[in-house]
Amino acid sequence: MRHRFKVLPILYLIIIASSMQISGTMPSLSSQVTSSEMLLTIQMERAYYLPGELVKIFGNLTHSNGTAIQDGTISIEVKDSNNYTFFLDITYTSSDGSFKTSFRLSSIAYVGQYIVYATAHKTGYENATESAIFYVTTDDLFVVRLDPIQVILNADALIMNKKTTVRVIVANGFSERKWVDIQIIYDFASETYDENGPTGIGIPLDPGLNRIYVPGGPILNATHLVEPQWIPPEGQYFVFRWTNTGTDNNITVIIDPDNNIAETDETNNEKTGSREVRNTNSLTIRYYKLRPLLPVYGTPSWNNFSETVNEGNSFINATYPVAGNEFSGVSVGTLWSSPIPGLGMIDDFLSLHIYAAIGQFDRAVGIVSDDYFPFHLLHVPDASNKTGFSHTSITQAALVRAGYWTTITHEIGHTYGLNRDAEDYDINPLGSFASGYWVTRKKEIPKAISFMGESPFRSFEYNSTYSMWVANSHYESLFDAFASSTAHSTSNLVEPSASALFVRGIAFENGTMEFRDMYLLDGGAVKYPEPGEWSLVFRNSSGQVLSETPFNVSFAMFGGKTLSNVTGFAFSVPYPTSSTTIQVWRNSTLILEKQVTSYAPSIEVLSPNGGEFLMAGLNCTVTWNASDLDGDPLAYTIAYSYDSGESWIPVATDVEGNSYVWNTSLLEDGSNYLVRVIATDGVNTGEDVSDNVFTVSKIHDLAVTDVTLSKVVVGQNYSMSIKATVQNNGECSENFNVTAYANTTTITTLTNVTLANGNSTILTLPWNTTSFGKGNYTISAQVIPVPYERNIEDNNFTDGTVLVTIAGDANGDGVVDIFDLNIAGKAYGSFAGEPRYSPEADITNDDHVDMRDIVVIARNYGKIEP
Amino acid sequence: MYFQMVEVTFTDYVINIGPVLTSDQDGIIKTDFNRGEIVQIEFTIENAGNFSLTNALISTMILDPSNTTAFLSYTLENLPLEFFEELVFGYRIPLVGSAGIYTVKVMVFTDWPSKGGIGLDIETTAFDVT
Repeated sequence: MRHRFKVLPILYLIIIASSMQISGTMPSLSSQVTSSEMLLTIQMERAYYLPGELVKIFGNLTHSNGTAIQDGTISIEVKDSNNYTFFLDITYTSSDGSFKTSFRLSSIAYVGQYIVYATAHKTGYENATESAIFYVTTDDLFVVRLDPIQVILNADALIMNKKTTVRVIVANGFSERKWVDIQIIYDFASETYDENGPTGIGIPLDPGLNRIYVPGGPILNATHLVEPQWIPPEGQYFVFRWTNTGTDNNITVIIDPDNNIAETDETNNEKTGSREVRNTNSLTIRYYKLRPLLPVYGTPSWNNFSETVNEGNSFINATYPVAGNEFSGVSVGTLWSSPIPGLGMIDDFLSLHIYAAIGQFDRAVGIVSDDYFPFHLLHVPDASNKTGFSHTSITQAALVRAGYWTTITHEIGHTYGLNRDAEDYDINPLGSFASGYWVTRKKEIPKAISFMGESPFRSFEYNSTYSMWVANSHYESLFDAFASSTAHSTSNLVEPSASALFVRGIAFENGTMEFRDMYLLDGGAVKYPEPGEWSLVFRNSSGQVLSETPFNVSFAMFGGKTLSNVTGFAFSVPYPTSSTTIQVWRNSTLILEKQVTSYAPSIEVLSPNGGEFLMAGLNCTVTWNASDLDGDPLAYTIAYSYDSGESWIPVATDVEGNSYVWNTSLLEDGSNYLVRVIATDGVNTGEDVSDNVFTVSKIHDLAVTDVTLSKVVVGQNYSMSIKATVQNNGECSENFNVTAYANTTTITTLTNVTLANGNSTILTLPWNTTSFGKGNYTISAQVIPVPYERNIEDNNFTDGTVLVTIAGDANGDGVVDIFDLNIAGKAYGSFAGEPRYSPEADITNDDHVDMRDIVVIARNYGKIEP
Repeated sequence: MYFQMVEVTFTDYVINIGPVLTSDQDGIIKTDFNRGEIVQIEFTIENAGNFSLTNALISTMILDPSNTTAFLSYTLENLPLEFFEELVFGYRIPLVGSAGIYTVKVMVFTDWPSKGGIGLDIETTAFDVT
C-alpha cells in the first residue's frame, strides 16, 4: 500500500468573486438531450436570480419509455458567466427518478448567464448529458436576446416584405417594475423604431426575464402577462418589414437608449443580431363554392363559404413563408360540380385544376358541404370525418369542407410537398408539435400542433391545450418550396414551342383512360408532372415522336391513406406544333390515343362586348359565336377579368352551346371588366375577349327626399339651418358628401357622411349669411353622386326660398319696426318646439327668443331696406 | 495464444473516498474552528476496482452556513490499480466568514461534468465556525 500526503498548490484554488457583463445568447430555461436509453431533464425553479439567492436545481431521470430510473448518479457542475466552475455535486435519483441539489449564490456573484451541466450514469445504460441556463443580475437591465419573428422562432431566414415582430428578452435585475424605452434598428439599419410602451412612458418590465413583442406588445414574463397589447404610435397594424434581401448584420435592440435608469452596468443594454433575408415566390389562390348540378349533396351557404375563405386566408398569411403582398386569396364564384359519385369528384379536381391553369393562379380550392365526401367516397368508411383532399396527380387543386379553416393550409401544404405519403396525424397521435407567433394578431403560440395534423371546426384552437400552427420542419420545407422554382422532369422535346398544352384525363381501375378536353394556350405556363410509368407522347404525321413526357397516375390522395377507384391526371407541357397524334403509353402498351385535327376553333364574343353596365348580383348572359372548320364538337371555358385583362378568373368550364349565364353576385364594383371565352376542340383552342371594357356594379342610389328650413326670414350676418333628409336606396353602405345651395352658391358641404343601405338620415347644414347679400334665395340640397351611381335625378331637392334682410326685420317687410317687436314680444321667452316659438323672432338662432333678439331689433329699429 | 480486448466502462471503476476529517494546522482532528483559522480537509482515495483511471477529477468543495460555495479546489490524478493515497486540502476561514456549520464535500469524477464526466464517489463532513 502506498501512502502519500499532499497539500494542493494554490494554483488550483477557485475563488468566486467580482462581477462582470454578459453577452449570452441561450435563454432556454431547460432542455433535454436523450441517450439511447435514458432521458435526463434538469431545470431551475426560475430563470433569473439575484446575487445571494438560493438556486434550486432539480430534474428527472427516466428510461426512454418514461419509466423512472432509481439510484442513477447525477453529476452537477455549475459555471458562472466568466466560465468559472464554482459548484460541483454528486447526487442520486430517488424511486420516482427525481433528483435535486441547491446552492446559494454569493452576494457578489458575477452578473450574467450561468450554465448548469449534468451527466447521468446508471449501470446498464448509456450516460446522458444535459445542461440548462439561468441568469444572475442586480440593479441592472440587460438584453438577453432578440429575435425577429414572422411565423416561427429561429427560421432559417426572414422573408422580404413579410410582416415581422421583434421579440426581445430583457432581464430586469431590479427588485421592482421598471418602465423602459426600447429602440429597434431594422431593415439593414435603414429604419429605427422607438417603443415607448402603452402610455408613452416606457415598457413595464417586471423583475426577472421579460418577453416583449415589439411593436405594440404584449409583454410577458415567466409567470404572467405583464401588459397586454397596445396600439403603437404608428398605428394598430404597424409591423416591421425588411424591404431588401441579403444578410442584415445590424438588427439591433437598445433598451433605455436615453439612459434614464441608473444601472450597475450600462454596457449590456444593447444587442445586435444578424438574419438573412430572402424573397419567396407568390401564392395566389382562388376559391370556388361547389354546387352539384343535381341536388345529390348540399351546397355551403355563402356565409359559411366566405367565413371559411376569410379565415383560411388569414391562417395562410400567418403561417406560410409568403409575404403578405405576395399572397392573394379571393372568392370568385360557384363551380357547378358533377353529381356522379367518385368520378364527379375527380372531374371537380380537373375543373379546378384547369381554372388554376387558365387563370394562372397557383391553386384553386373548392369549398364543399359536409355530405360531399361521403357522397363521392362511398367505399371509404370514415369519409364523413374527412375535411379535405388534395390529389397526387392533379396538384393545383384542393377540396376543403366548409368550416374547416386550417384544412386549407393542410391541403395546400400537401400540394407543396408536406406529408405526401402519410398524414401527419397517422405518424404522430396529434401531429407534429409547433409554436410561433401570429404577427397580425399579436398572439404568442407557445403550444400548438401542426396544421398538417387534424383540423378543428371553425377554430384555430385544436383543443383547450393546443392551438393550430405550422411545425418548424413544415415551415422550413415550405420555405424551400416557395424559394425555388418548380422542379420538373426532362422531356425530349424535338420542336420548341411557345404554346403549352393543358392535359387532363381520367384513369380507371381497369387500366383504361379517357382524355378530358385539353386546352392549347399561347404562353401558357408549363407545369411538368411527376414522372411515372405512363408517358404522354406527341407524334407527327410520319409517326415520329416529337416529345415524350413521363407522368404518374395515382389512385391515392395526398397523405396516402384514402384511395379512390377512379383517378385523374392534369399537367401542362410544351406543345410540338406539328403534332397530329397524342398518345398515352404505359410502359410498352398504348393506352390512349387522340388525333389532332387541322384547324383551331374560331370564336367571337358577342356579349358583353364593351360599354355595358351590369348590375352586380344579377345574372349576365355571356354569348358568343364559334365555329370549327374540322367540324369538331366544341367546349368552352368562360373567364372574366376585372383589371382590363391583366388577370383572368375562370367561372365555368366544359360548357356546351353558345351562351352561359354568369352569376355576378360576388363581383366588386369596377369599370374594367372583360369576358374571355375559350373554345377547344379537345386540343386546338381558340379564344376571344370582349372588344372593350364594361362596368359591373352593385346598385348605388342616394336620394335627397326632403329639405326643411329653420326659418324663411333671416337677418343678414345671422345664421339659420337647413335640414336635408337623405335616403340610401342602394345595396351598399355609402360614404358621401352633401352640399346645400342658396340659388347656385354653395352654403356648406357635409363630408364623409356614412349611411347603411335601406336607411335614411336627417342632416343639418348650417347657413351663416354673413357673405350673402340681402334678397330672396332658393334653397336646395344635393347629395354628391357616389361612384357607379346611375340614378342621380333624385340626388337634388329644392325647398322654397329664404329672405335675407335687415337684422331685426322679423316679418321680412323691409323695415324694422313695431311689427317686428310685436312678433318678438309674442314669442318672448319661448324655446324651439314650444307653440309660441317663432323662428323668425329667434334672430340669433339659438333656439330661444330672449332679450338678445330684442336687442337686435332695438339696435336696428327704424332701418329700412332701400 | 490470443489477446482479448476488454472494453472499460464507467461501471468498472470502483473508487472509494475514505472518511473525510477536518483538522487544524497541527494535524489535530477537530470540528470547531475560529474565523481566521486554517482547516485541513483530510481523506483517502482508493482505487478498489480492476481498472486504472487517468486524470480523475478529485474535488473538495466547502459550503458556508448559507450554502454558498466558500471554497472549491481540485486536482487531476491518475489512479492506477490498488491506488491508495491520503490527500489534504487546506482552507483558511476568512476573518469575515460567517459563523455556523460549514459543509465539506469531497468528490471524485471521471472528468468535469461539463465535459461528460460522471461522479464516482462523494463523501461529506461538516465543521463549526465561531
